[in-house]
Amino acid sequence: MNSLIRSYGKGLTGIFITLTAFWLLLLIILPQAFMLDQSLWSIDKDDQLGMKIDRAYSDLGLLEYDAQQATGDTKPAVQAKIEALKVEIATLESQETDPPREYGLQNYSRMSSLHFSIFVKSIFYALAVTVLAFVVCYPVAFTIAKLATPQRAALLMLGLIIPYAINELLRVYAWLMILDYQGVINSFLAWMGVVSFADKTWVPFLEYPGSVFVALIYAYVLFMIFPIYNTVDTLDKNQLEAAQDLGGSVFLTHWRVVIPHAKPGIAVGCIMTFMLSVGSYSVPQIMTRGKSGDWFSQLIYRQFFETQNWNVGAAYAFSLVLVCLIFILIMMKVFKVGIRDISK
Amino acid sequence: MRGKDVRLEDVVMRFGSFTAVQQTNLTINAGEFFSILGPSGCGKTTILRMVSGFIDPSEGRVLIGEEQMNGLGPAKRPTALIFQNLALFPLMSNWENVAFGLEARGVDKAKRRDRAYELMALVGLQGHEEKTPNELSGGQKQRVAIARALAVEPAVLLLDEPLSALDLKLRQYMRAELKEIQRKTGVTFIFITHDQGEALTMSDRIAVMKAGVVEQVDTVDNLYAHPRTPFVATFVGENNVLEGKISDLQDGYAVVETQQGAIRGINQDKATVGDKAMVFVRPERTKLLNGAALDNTFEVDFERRDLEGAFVNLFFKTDTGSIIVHEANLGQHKELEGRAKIGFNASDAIVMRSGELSDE
Amino acid sequence: MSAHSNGPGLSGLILKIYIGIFFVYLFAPLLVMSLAAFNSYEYPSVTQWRGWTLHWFGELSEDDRILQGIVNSVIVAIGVVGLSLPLGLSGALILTRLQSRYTNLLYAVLVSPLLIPGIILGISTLIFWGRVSVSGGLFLTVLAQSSFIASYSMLLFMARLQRQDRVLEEAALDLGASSFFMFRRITLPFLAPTLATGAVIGFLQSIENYNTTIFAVGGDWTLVTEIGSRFRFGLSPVINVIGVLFVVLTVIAATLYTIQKEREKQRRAALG
Repeated sequence: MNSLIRSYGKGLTGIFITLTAFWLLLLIILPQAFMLDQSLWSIDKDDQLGMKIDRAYSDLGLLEYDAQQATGDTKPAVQAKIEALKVEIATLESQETDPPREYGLQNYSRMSSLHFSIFVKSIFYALAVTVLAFVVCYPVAFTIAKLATPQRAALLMLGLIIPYAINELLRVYAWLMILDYQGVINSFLAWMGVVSFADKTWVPFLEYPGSVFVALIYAYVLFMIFPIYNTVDTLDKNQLEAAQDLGGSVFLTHWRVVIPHAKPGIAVGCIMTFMLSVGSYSVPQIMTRGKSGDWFSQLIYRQFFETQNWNVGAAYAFSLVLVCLIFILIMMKVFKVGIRDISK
Repeated sequence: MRGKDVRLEDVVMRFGSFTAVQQTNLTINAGEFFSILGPSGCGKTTILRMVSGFIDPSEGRVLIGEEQMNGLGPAKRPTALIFQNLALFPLMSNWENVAFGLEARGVDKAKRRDRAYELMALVGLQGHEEKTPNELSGGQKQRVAIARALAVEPAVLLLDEPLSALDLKLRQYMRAELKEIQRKTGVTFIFITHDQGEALTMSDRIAVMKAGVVEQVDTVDNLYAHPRTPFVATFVGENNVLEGKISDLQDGYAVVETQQGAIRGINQDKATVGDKAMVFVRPERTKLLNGAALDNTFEVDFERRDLEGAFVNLFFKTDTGSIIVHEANLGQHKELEGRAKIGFNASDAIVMRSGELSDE
Repeated sequence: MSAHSNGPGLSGLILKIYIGIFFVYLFAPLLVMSLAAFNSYEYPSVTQWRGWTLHWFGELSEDDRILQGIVNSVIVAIGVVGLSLPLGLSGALILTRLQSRYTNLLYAVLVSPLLIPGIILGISTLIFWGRVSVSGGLFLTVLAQSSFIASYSMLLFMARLQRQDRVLEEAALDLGASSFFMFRRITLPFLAPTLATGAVIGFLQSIENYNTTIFAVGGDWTLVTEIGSRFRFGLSPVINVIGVLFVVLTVIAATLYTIQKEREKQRRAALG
C-alpha cells in the first residue's frame, strides 16, 4: 500500500481503495452474504392469523360495551381485560405485517426428491458437456496454436469469433431450428424417405438431453478453446520436434509433452465450461421448451419469478455456488494449478 | 544553475532486519563532481535514493543546502535523477521528454518548447527534437536524459550508473561529455558507479563503499596514493599484497615477517608488534631488479608476460599468491624465465592491519 | 517444418477433415438462422420455404419493444463500461502493488464473479439491493453486470501493468510531477490501449448478457431479455433479422479492425 501512496499520492490511492472496496463489498461479498442469509430462513405463516385478529377485535367491541355498562368495583377489572386484549391484538398485527423468521437449513433439507434428482442430473450433464467440449476443442486449439501458418491461424481465429457476433440466445435458437421436429435434419431425413412428417415418425432430437449438450458446447466453445490455445501457444515448438525425433507417437507426444504444458489452460477451460453449463439458464430454456425435463437453473428461475419463494430460490442458488466452488477446488488440485493461473 | 551541497548526518537505512546503510556522515560540496564507488549491493544506490527522495532514512538527516529534506518526496527536492535505464517516456517526443518537468510545473507550451530546444542544443541533439526516444542511438538517448534532468534546473544531479549500458568507446566519450556539462552548469553531480576507472577519470572526490559502510572519502589522488583500508587498497586500482605478522617498528615504519622474508613499509594504522598485517604495493612501484637492491628485495618465479600496448604486466608466483609488475613497454623482458629478483622501496609500501580485500 | 510437425500424412489428413467438420458445426447454425430472416413464412423456418422477402426487416423497424430494448441495452452497456473500467483499474493497481499475504485472497475474491454462474450474480444482486429498497431495473442490471465485467477488465489491466516500467513513474515524480499529473501524463497513456480494449469487450459482454440480466432487469427489458421472452410468447423471423444484423455488423467491424492493423503494420514498416 505504501508503494501505491508513494507513486500515486494519498488522494488517488484513496480513490482506488474506495472503488475497490465498493466493488468488493457492494457488488460481490454483501450480495453473496445476503443470498446465503436469505437461504437460511423461512417464514412460518400462521393461516389462522387473520381470523384470530378479527375475533380479537369483536371481543374488544364486546368488552368496551361491558365497560360502559359496568359500575363501581367491576369497572377496573374490565378495563384491565381491555388493555390485555389490545396488547394481544398489537402482537398479532405485527406478526401479520412482519412475520417472524425461522432460521435453519429447512430450505436445503426440504428439497423434494424430484428437485434433488434434477440437481444431480444437471451436475452430471454439465460434467458430460465439459468432457465433450474438451475432446471437441483440444484438436482445434492445438491446430491454431501450433500447426497453422500465422495467416491461417488468424483466419481460423476469426472463424471462431464470428459466431459469437450473434447473441447467445440466437446462437442456441439456430440449433433449435436445426433439431426441431420439422427442423432441418428431420426435413432432410424426410426428403431421404427415412422419416415422415405425416406419420409423425420424425426423430425427437429435442427430447434427448444430447440436444442441449450440442447447443451448450456450441454456445461456450470459445471458453474452452481460448485458454487451451493460450497455453499451447507458449509451448516451444522444438519440444514437439524433439518428441517426434525421439520416436514419440502422436498420442505420446500429446500425453507427455503438450497436455502437461497446457494444464493451466485446460483447467481454466474446464472450469469455465462447467460453470457456464451448470448455470446456464438460456440454453436449456430454449432447447427443452417443456419437451424434455427442466434443468436446475430453470428450477431456480421458477422459485424467484413463478412460485415467488425467494428463500428456497436462494438456497438452490447457493447450492449451485457450492457445486461450482467444489468443482474449481477439485480442478485446481487435479491439475495442480493456483488461483493465479486462473486468469483468462 | 547553481550547485548546492548535500549532507548526510548520522544516516542509517534499514529494510526490515537488513541494514542497507550503516551509520554514515557524508558531505558533498556544492558544485563538485562526486562519485560513490562500490561493488553491487554495497548500499550506494540506497544513498542515491535517500538523496533523491524515493526513500527516507530510518535514522538521521539528509540536507541539501541548509534545508532538511526528510519527508519531502522526490518532486519537492532540488534534485534530478538520471536513471540507469534512463527511463525516457516512450510515448512522448524527445522535446516533450525534456520539457516534462516544466510541464509539471505549469510552464506554458511555447515557453517550455523553446527551453527544451535550447537544452537539446546544449547537449548536441539539434534536429532530433520531434523524434521519439526509440528512434535514437544509445548515446543520444543518454543526452536526452541529461537534458531532461537539467531542464528542471536542479541544484544536484544524481546519476545512477548511466553509462553502464554503453559500449566502451561511447562510454569514454560520454565521460568527457559529462565532466564538461558539469563544469559548464556548476551543478553538483553525484555519480554512482561500480567502475573505478569511470570514478577516477571524472570525479573531484570519491566515496568508496562496502557492505553499507563508507570506507573512505577522498580526492582521487589521495584515494589512489593513500588508501585507508585493505578493501580500498585492492578495489581502487591494483595492489600487490603480502601477508604476515609485524615483528618490529621503526619511526613510522613497520617490519612484517612474510613468506618472502621481512618486508618494510609505512605503518599507516599505527599497528603494534605481533599484529597480523598486510603490505600493499602498487604494481608500478614494484621493480624487476638486475643486481641493484631496494629496501625490500626477494626472489619469485616468473609466470607470464601480458602485453597491454603501452604497458607490460609481468606476473610472478610466490608461495602464497602472485605479484604483478607494471612497466612501460620498451620492448624489454621478452626472454624472461625461471627465478627472478624483484623489490620495492619501503616508502612505496603501506602496512595495514589485516582486513577484507576486494574480490574484484 | 510444417510437413514434419503435421505428423504422418494420415493423421494430418484426419485432423484437417476434423477441423473442416468443426467449422461446419460453427457456421451451419448461422446460415440457417440468417436464411430464415428472408423467408416469407410467418414462423422462423428454412424448411417451410415460402419465398424470399425483406418484409421482416421492415417489421423490425416498427417493433417498438425491440427498438426500446436496443436503446436500453446501449444505456446499460455504457453504464457498465463507465463503472467497470474504474473498478477493474483500481483493483489491478492495488493487486499489483500490494505486498501482503492477503493479496491472493483479494485476487480470488475479485475474480470470483467470473467463476460463478451468471444467474447467481443476478440473484444475489437482486436480493441484496432489494433489502435496501432498490428493485430490479436497468440500474440494478448495470450493477449486476459490472460485478463480473469489472473482473474481466481487471485481468486486462493486470496483464498490461505487468509490462509497466515503474521507473518511468519514478522519473516523472523526480522531475517534479505531482502524483495526479504523473498518473494523467504517464500511467494513463500507457494504459490507453487496455482502456480501449476493455471498453469494447465490456460493451459487447454487456449487450450480450442474458443469464445475469434476466434476474436483475425487473420490469424493464434489454434487447436480449426481450428476445428471451419472445421464445415463450410466439416467435417471428424478426428475431432472425436481428441475428443477421449482428453478423453483418461484426463482419464489418472485424474487417475494419484488420485493415487498421494492417495499415499500422505498414506504417511501422515504413518507419523502419
